[in-house]
Amino acid sequence: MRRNRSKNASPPNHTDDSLIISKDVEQNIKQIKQSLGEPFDFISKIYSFKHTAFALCYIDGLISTEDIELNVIPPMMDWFKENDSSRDYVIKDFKQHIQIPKKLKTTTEFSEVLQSLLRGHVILFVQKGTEAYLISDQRWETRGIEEPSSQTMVRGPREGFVETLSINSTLIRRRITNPKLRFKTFIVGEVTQTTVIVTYIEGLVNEDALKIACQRISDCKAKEVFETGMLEELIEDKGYTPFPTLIDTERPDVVSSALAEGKLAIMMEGTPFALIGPATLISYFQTAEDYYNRFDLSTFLRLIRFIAFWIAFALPATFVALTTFHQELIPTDLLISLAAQREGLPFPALVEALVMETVFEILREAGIRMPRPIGPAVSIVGAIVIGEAAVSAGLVSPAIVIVVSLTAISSFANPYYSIAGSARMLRFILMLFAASAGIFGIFIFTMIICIHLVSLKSLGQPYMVPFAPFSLKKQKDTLLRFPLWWSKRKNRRNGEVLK
Amino acid sequence: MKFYSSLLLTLLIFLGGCSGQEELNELLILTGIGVDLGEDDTVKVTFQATNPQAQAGGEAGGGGASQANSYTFESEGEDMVEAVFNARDLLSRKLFFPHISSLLISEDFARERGVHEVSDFLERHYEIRDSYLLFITKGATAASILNTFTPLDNSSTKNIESLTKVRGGTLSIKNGTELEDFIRWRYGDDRDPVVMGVEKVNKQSSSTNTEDLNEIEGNKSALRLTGLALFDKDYLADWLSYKDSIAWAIITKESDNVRSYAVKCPEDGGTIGFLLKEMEVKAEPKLVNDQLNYSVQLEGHINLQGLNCKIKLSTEQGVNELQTIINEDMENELQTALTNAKESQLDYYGIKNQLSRNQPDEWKKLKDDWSSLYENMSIETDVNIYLESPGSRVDNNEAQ
Repeated sequence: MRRNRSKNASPPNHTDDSLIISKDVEQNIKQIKQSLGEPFDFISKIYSFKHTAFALCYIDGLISTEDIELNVIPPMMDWFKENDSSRDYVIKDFKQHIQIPKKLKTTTEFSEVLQSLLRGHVILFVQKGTEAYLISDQRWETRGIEEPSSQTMVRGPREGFVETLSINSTLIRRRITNPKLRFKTFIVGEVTQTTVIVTYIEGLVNEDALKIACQRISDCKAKEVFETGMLEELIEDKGYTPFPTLIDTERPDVVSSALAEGKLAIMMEGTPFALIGPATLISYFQTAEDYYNRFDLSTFLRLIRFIAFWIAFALPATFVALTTFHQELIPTDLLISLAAQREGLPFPALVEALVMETVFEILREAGIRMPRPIGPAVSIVGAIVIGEAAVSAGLVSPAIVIVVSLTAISSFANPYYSIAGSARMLRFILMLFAASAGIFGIFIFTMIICIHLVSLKSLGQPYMVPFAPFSLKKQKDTLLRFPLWWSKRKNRRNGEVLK
Repeated sequence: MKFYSSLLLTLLIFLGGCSGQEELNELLILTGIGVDLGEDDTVKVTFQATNPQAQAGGEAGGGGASQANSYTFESEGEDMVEAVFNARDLLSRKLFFPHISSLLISEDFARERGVHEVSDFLERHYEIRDSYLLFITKGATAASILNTFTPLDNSSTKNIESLTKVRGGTLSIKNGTELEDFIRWRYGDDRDPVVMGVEKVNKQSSSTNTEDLNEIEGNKSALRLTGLALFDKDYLADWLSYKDSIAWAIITKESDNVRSYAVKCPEDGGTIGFLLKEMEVKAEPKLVNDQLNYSVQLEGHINLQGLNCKIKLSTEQGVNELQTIINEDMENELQTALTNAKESQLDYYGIKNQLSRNQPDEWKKLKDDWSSLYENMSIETDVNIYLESPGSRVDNNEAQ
């Protein structure tokens, strides 16, 4: 599908280009108010002395008022009082007296002043000066670091990303205290001007993928970006695919281990989800927990996940195909009991399966959207409708209920919601194939999917690595997880990876 | 363009439009076929089909009279093909063949018309597998066996199938005799086939009503396996005795790996019952000086299961005595079985086939004199059995 990138020639944030910083502080404050449309949370204060004056302004809630009140205003007052000597003297050397170790920038551009103000800077104007001083002192209310709700695990760190980028980057820094850890900043979105960072470990990262990712992010001409999911769609490789091509995660430990593997991560202000790329199909079946648990258990669980994915994808279709085309493949006793269940049912097996799957999808969607207190009501209705009533009313057979519920459970066994979603959608198409051509149809569709998968790329890297192209060495951490001591890369274990 | 053409190709598969699709409730799942002689030299085919409605039990209906687990349908025709075609007019559902477990042919039919038209039809039919069991019904029509409600199993065919599968039966033939065995022996190996037989335990009683199953006496409606039916080409020639059938199973290695066996004590008429295991059989015909010689060697271990003779097993002498008794008895039985085979002039041990493989040159020379060769065949048997365990006790209690 062609990408629809907006080509807005005059972005709204550059309309104030003509304005300059006036020598009069009052004039400057007035100008800001005008440009921002007299905002209610804009705070400004002019401190006047005999010959000179300075003005502070900021947006309430974006900065730390405490810092300003204690460490900026008192020393400035003192300094200005001391130097308040003549009418023409412009006081400049106050920088060292501002007692916060944050960035202090000087600018002469009024547009930059506005930008910084909105990003949580404190702006300082000095009477008769043509420069504005920007003190970076962002501090706003954030959610505390909590356990990620979308990817829970039994063993492993409980920290999850939050909506604040600076906290998220700290979470990674704490895990990788390596001087080669890099953060590259981009601004994306013509309207939202969102900060996006790409993080990687220099020397380890796949350079091609990094180049492609940076190129695509900086080329991205979207108007607004609120979540990494939107960004993901904008920087994906061309062509339609039902599969996700970047891994999304809320877990800093997952991101850190991906960085150590030579992948890169993309994080964004305002969302706890980070993207990891380049992704491979197999990486959607691996969890961070695989490496925290013993290798034999992890291997077993990983195989379970593959089986579950296959069940979620193909079980209803296989059921339809076997009962309507290939009855000879079913053991006689099972066939007889299936036939007994089918006696007197009004719909063909396909319709039965489609109806039940749809009912389940509705229930699942309702379960996510409904207000919390109504939850039990929906699940009770769901359980009764699916489990009991439909069967005893003679609408569907008990076997299809088992099939649908097994499928549903299996689709939850996947650690990544996004790939489970792919199986969820493709399942319906597969059912149509199964109903029109039986097992043959299932094979055809599976073949189509396989051909699609091997041609798929994530950030320019093949998606089916290490199966296609095949690499025997990498098999030790794909379907199976071999113990860590099998690894021959000793230097990595000793932490000397970058020397 | 690429997108649209691939979409078009994909949609092609839906053009089939569910042809060949059959819902389970449109099928009549057959479990057995019986073939009988009808009147005026016609063929009467009996189909046994499961009745899913009955198997659903109380779950679906509740109320409602209980129905039979399976139904049989009969149809007649000039020959097998016509009889099956005629059945289609009779049945409201499509006949579904793949789950047939056994094929029953009545003794009369096999004797008079031969089996070839049945095997031809069934082998050609694309829905029917060749791997189901073939039986000849002894002293009863195939229909009457199919029409029997048997205790413990849902249908008589299922019952017969389990009879052959159960371990430690008298015959203990590994996989039973299947249609494909019959066809292979008859047409592939140039060997006279044998087929398992089945009969009613109580020939007078009929059990065609589910009510009959309410009686506690299971024997009334039970079926049992007989000795093997011996074929001369396609026609039933004779019935083998149990002993001959067992010998046949051992010599042709069709026997289960572990089988029970019983021999009589020499003097006092008691029985020695034992479990014969780890059998190693070597049966080889050989042409020496234009003479046919058939040698059978049998080695095995036994576990004693019953002992009614006065043998002291606690002494080495007693053990040796027991082993000798068993060895001699078994040798005798193998001898008798092979002599019987020789007399019948039917080669159901596959001697011809073995000769043509092992000694092709000699066989080519002497092939035309087969009947005299076979008649004068000398038989060598050598049984070597070792008592592995006397069971949980050694000597029997002394009779006072």
